[in-house]
Amino acid sequence: MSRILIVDDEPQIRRLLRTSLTAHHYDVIESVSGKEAVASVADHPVDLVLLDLGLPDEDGISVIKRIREWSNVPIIVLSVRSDERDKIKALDLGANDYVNKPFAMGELLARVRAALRQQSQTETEPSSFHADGLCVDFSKRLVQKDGHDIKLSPKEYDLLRVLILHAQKVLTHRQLLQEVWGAEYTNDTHYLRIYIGQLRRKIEANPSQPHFIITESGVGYRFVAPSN
Amino acid sequence: MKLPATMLFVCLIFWTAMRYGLTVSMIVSVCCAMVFSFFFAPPIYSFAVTHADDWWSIGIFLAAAILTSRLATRMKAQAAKAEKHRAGTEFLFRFSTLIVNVVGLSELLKVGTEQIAESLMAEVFLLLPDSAGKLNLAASSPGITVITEAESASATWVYHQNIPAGHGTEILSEAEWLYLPLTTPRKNVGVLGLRFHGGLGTQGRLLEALKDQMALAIERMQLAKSLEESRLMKQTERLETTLLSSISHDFRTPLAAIIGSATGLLSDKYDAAARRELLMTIYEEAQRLNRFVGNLLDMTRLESGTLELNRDWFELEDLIGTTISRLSERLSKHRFMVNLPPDLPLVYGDFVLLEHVLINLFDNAVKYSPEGSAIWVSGRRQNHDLIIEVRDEGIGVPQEERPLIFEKFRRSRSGNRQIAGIGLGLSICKGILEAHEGKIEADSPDGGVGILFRLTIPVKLPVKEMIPA
Repeated sequence: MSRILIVDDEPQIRRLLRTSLTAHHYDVIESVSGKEAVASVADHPVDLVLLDLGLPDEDGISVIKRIREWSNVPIIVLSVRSDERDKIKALDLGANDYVNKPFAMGELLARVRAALRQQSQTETEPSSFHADGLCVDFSKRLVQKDGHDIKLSPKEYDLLRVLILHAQKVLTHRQLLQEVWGAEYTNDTHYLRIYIGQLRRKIEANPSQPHFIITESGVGYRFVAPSN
Repeated sequence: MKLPATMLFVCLIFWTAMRYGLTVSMIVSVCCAMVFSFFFAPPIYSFAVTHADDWWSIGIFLAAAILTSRLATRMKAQAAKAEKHRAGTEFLFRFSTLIVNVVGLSELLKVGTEQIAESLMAEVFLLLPDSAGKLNLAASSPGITVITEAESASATWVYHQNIPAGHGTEILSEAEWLYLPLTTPRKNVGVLGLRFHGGLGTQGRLLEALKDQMALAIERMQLAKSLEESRLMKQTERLETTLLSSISHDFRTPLAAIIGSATGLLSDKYDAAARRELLMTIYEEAQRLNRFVGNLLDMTRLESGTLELNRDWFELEDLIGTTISRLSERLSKHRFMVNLPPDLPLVYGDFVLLEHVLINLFDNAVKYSPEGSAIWVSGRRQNHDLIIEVRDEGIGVPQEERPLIFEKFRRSRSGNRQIAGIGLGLSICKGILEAHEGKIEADSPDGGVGILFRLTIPVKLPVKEMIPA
């Protein structure tokens, strides 16, 4: 049974999360402040942290920084919309994902499952990916859509590979640019926009209603693969 | 020869007196007398005068010369005085026209002090009381940026006692400055300080008149300002009342639905289908509340000027696709038609804010058009602009009301009042588009049914066009 640490100062939100997560067979512990949260992660074996960014005693961002100094525990950030800069900062500092408040419970549980799964996965890359008619063979650098070969440029392929390797997890523009183009291109978001558009036109059935590559407004992209 | 010569001398003396004043004309008179005795009174070419007649002549001539001189200088003085008076009156007239026509208190103070300083050949400062009654430097001649504590204390005394003091008066007469209270029949508006380069001279009445005019003009300006302030205050109050009443109405309705549904669910008396219905109500109404709060927040940020654009490059297709999938449940009962040419330029803007614009427009389209009807979204490039059009087949907005729907709390009067909304959405759209140097307009669609919203955003080009492939 995975143990989840909930860090939120609002009792209603803690109650909601505790009830739902317990019902889905997670072990739940709670903290009401950043200081307590850091201590909890140090004291207990914790599998995942659900961290509210707006804590009374200290900035959620600095809590991430302090936990990341010595722990790799997955962190999912809870944040209100319109705080995109904070979300990006949190993700760039090592948070694994974020969920907008107010959130749908199904969405939150999906993020929790994805983060836990990624943590348990070994570091070896999968050799292939199959979902909804999209097949990627990483060893042969081969991409197929509904049985037909698709020709991707090297950068398009790299982009798709990075997205699939972090499937279900949001990647910030900066993270994607760094992985695919390199550190000196992290501000050139228009490269990314154009390549995402091209990639969507090649792999999506309807590029304006994408199925695989989802835009996270103001933050980045998320590759969604139906769990199979 | 003697007579014409003396006549000539008198003329000369008159002219000298007019021109150079009494002293010079006296000297000229004596010179003339000596010339007369030298050239005209025998023995000629000698200052000696032998005839008694000639003595008489010289005596009478000198007396006449003195009289003429004095008469002439007095005339001159009177003419000068008249001229000065005329100039003063004319200046006063110009001054009053000038200060009546200036716009704003600060301009009035600036122009007023400049004019007073120039006409009286003096340095000038002007002190006005603040809301607590403390005098502050409001305007001054160039070079005077601060006044000393002693000067300020004297001015404050003058302001409260309403008596002139300082240079040239009986009180504080050793001071450099002259302090005059600026009074109107209603109240004391401030203090005028003057330091003359020469002296006040005969300009006392002009100063008096200028000071009174200035005081009246300042009072008039202050009255106008306080009138405007109270008008604005009333407007703000009205706005707050509208906001409060619409918020309480538009928040209560979904809250009532949520509380009602939740208490129903707690009572355990419903079958599975009914429970699901109640849960859907809670969910939908809470979503609606969430949208209201989002709009209110946007509005506050737009109004307070704290809205910071987080600009980035993106494809219009991405923006529209993301908005549609975010609203997928709400849009499910309408047919959505997206028409985008493949070669559209990238948009340079705030993705999240422009998404709010589209969410508001789509939400309106769904609210005001029947289920099953179509909603069109299209994009195109027109010269240096990107045009986005959102069109529905709903009830539309009459032509004359269209410019008004972008104002706060304004909802179409012909619209259905039963449809929830506080009339913030479109004014937020307008604010966001304007922050992007763009605009939003409402228009009639070609078919005539419904309404078309046209967004215009200027196209920018990425700094680096070359993309490493």
